[in-house]
Amino acid sequence: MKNFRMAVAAFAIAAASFQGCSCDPLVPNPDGGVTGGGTGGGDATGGGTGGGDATGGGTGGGDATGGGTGGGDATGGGTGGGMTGGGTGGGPTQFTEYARTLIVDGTSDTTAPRPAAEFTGLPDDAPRSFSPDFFDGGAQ
Amino acid sequence: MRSLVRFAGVAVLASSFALASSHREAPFITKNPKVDGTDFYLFSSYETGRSNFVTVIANFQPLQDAYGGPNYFSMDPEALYELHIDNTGDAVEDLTFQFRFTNTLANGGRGVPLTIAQPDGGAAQSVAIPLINAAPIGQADGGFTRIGAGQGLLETYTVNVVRGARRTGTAQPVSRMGGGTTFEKPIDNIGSKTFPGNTYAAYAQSFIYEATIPGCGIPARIFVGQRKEGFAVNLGTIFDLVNAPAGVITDNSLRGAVPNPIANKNVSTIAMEVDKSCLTNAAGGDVIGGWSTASVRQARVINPTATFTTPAREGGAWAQVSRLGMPLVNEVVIGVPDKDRFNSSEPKDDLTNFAPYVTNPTLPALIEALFGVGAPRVFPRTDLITAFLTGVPGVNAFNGTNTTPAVAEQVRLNTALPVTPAGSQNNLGALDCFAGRSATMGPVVTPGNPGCDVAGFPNGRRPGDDVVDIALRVSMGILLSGDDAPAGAIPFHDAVLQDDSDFDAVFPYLKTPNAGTP
Repeated sequence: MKNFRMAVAAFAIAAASFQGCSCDPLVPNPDGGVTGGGTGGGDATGGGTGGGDATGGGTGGGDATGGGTGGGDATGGGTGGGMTGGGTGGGPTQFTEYARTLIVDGTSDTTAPRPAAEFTGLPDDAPRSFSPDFFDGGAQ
Repeated sequence: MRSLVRFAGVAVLASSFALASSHREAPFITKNPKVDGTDFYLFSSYETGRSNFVTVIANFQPLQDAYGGPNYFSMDPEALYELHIDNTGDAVEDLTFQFRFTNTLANGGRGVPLTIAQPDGGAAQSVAIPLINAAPIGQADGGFTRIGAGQGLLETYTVNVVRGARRTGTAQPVSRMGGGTTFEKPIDNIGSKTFPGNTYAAYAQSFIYEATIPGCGIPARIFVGQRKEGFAVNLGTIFDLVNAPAGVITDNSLRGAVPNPIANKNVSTIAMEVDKSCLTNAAGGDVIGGWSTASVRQARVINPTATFTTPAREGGAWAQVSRLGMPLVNEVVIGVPDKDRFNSSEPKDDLTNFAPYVTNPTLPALIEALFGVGAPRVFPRTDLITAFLTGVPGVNAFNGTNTTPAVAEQVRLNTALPVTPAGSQNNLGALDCFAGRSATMGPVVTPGNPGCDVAGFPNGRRPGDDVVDIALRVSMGILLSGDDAPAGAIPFHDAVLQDDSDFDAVFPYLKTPNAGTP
């Protein structure tokens, strides 16, 4: 019964502090930069936008390379083997590119899904195309 | 009761709520019907001679119309369907059974071809038919055919058991007795021409497998296939602000006055029967918790030139989109803004994510507004916490060496309690076991109560437990004192009765599905 009362008390505390759905991103984008984050130090340098100094680390040592735009010193991205690197040619990572990289390099039965904050802010104004080979297992 | 008579004049709330166990209960899952979990059952097997086993059933793909051809209701080959068992009381899965499906077209991916030739004997072409079968599958002698000339699509699946966390634990394949790790799923009950002479039942029966679970010395049974919808609920009426006379839904003699409106629907069932000793653990004692989930790959790119095998490419980690343990939770407990969140959540996080929905539930307040009856007035609702989140001490609360089990939503089953055979089960589950009406700290079990059937919901959930009526009564305070719950003594029901006579008395318990044609 003691445990039960503790549970009830815990519920009451939780109820008092509950504020409904919190929709804040888990990883805020500093200064508009593409989400960085993670630890462990890979080779990831990802793209930031808007001149921020978004900084993060790669987890698992990715090789994703990209560039910042707007003059920022963006380093970040790169989780799970270079999954979220920057876009090529200095542009920010496009949503479709993120999806491509997630599928090609991030498919796994043992990892957790990527947090929404990592992709909800990605631009989608220049979606990439996919070759027919992509749907047969190709990378592009 | 006088206030009930005033029902016609009661102003109704400009809101609605659903009351199907988990059929299309959250906004996002309505876009993904193949992975929409609809009901989860966990009970000690009451098939004669099987009381040492626990049956776990998870239904998916709600409200199937039997005539829904030509594709019918195959499982999603890009999804991961899982049954989780917590046997340590921490609300984290210790055993997970993972089901993955493969759809194969006959004849090397060509389906069933017909040779189409010109009448004058000109060049003939082999052309695939637009149906998944071209001939009867059931045979006049009671037999049936497998994939081949007449059946164009075969569904197969594999099962893994994961010990430990579902993503990082140790996964091992479950194998069929006699060898092999690939299981077959019966084609859906297309109709009486495909399965003449009521041959579907025997056909489906042949897909019940005995299986070897690594680490479990006693064979399990597995079945995956279409079944008749097992849930019974006055669906349209309840969606429509409980559009029924108060005098009906509060008169206990009128339980069953309305035929089950979804009895003509089907579902897709994943069922397992596992020896109790393979599911329990000293930490949890005799009690196990269970729930089902479905997950899809986090990313999907649509193929602009789609093929049967590759309409899209999916990848990334598994992302959970459906969760189901206790019935009705995501329907009448969780608020609309958090329903999708619930489906992606895990029981271990319930306290943080969803506590107020249980401690301060809105369903009773809605019923009060709709019918003018008094909702319970005591908060937090400790009776609901006990019934849904901790289990009842002495009944289905974890009773092992873990003395601080988690507070979380899952179906808890005490595997040591005796089963009640079919025909003797109380369709109100264990509700009559609780002293109630005087309890302020949650229900207290009194096994000697008349009608006490401790083998029923919320001690696990059997197919015949009328969880709608149970939930209505519990939410209105049948387990609370009269002071705390002024309407707690009213025998609320939805006028649609559910009991064990609606089911088979043998595994997989859910009945042969409705046929596409009579």
